[in-house]
Amino acid sequence: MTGSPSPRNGSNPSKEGKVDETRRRILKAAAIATAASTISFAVVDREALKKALVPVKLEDLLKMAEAEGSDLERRAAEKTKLMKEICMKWTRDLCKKVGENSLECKEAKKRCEMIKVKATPPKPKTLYAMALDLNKCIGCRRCAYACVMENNQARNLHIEWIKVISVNREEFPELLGSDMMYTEAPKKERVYIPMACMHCEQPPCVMVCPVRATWKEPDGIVVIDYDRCIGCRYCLTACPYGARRFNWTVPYVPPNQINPNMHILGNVIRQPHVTEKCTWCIQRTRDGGVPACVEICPVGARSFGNLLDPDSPIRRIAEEYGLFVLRPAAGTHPKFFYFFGPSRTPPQPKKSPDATQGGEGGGKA
Amino acid sequence: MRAATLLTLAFLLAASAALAVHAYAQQNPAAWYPCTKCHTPFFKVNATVKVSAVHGIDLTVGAHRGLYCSNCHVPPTMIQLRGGGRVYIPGLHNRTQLIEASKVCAVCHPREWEDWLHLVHGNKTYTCPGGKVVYVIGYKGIRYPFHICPHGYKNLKTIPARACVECHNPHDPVYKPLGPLPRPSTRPPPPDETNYLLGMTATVIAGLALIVFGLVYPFGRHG
Repeated sequence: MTGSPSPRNGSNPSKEGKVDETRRRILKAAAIATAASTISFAVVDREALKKALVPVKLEDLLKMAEAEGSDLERRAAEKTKLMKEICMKWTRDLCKKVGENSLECKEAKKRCEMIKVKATPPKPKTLYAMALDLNKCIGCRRCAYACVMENNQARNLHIEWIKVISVNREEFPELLGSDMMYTEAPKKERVYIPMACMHCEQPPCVMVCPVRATWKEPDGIVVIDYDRCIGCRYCLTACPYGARRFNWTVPYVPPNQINPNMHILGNVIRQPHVTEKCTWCIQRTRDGGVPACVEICPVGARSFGNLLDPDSPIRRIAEEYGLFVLRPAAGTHPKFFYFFGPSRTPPQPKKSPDATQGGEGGGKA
Repeated sequence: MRAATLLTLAFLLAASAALAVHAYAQQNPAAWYPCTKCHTPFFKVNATVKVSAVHGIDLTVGAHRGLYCSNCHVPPTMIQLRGGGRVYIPGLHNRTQLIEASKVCAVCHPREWEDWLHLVHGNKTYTCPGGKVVYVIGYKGIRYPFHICPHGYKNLKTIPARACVECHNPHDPVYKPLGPLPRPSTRPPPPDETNYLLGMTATVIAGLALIVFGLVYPFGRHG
């Protein structure tokens, strides 16, 4: 091969000299650069270098390895600091606006102090479920607004996880003609259906996530890791119930209304450009409480419990009244159930003495 | 003549005062408590009535129409209730006592009672050791109960929030529905399209530069 001249060299021998010149120039430049860097290394102060490059300390590594708790708990501790910083920043702005001695300012400071981000792990032998009595629901929207308060949802973005829709009673399972903007409720001919995340057994939102930022916990709660979410919004499109919301800008919560009881996978104050949704108040339920919507419901239409516990409310409802889900054709097997409970006896207009016949309590007296 | 006028006036005053007291007593059931003040074992009451003007109770209307006093109250003292409970009054007695009084409801509504025991029927809440509830005017001016747990939000306990008689008036048990809260807000629209103009322009310029300096320039130099 060496002996035979290449066709390219043979075809244009006039360019050979030029190529050699370029090579020399490059070599010269490289030599100059090497010299300059050697000199600069020798000249630059070593102390200054130490400041620029943070060395890894062996003690820190050992401390990290010996630290108690899971990775999530360590992250939660860091998050607590961050949340306090954000809260203090907002509090300073608020105090400037309304004055140092105002009630709001004091309340905000108190709340900032109380902030604690938890990382409570799921309990074994637990599968949470919620059931809602459509016979009782009066469509008052109290659950939706309690949820906003409990979960530190962005007030400037008007994020509301729960939407209450009203559909005609006669065409009930069909949700196409639903109305969300009603102003008068309850009405006899309407059924009110509060809808939020259904915590499906096979959640499509989890399947489409490209970065595994959302997953289903062993106790049945579908959670989002806000630090991992990249804001691609695939999950918003995938959800058949429209349960997810997106933070388009930096969220703002008035610091005097911040809920200090936080969970790292639940109601920490979100970053911009992350998805969020109902977590069944993971910060309450994992520690034995009830979700905010269940607590606030003025008619007691909602109940929440452990599906695997034979004494739980959900089991009682399943045995006594039966359960159904919305959009079963989606094939996601939701853990949010609806049921028609015992019918109410609304006050009936006095028509005739026979009006009570055939109704409840007709033959009881 | 003058004495007669004065007497009439005094009588009218006394009558109106008595009426006012009566009206107050009707409004406030605690005024008659305990029942044994009047209903002594020796005082025979006719418990098979539906209307008691003294107590302001009319059982010919409402969801409990058709019942008699004795369907729930045990004569003659009336303070004992069917089902083993006893009369307690919301506002006057604590929740444990009110739950005791709720046993009478279970006689005719065993299903609801069982539901209530299973935390299905009625309001639920949670408690924490040493905790309290503070009300805050929050989103859209709506009152929201915040739980304050001084020892951290751990070891919470879910309990029924109310006894039967705290929501349902036992003599007229229909629960009046509350009106709806304001409509849901419309989300602010996603960021303006014009915000992308700068980025798009920069991308186009950078792309053109890349094409010129990466593809056209080297060919031009060699050719």
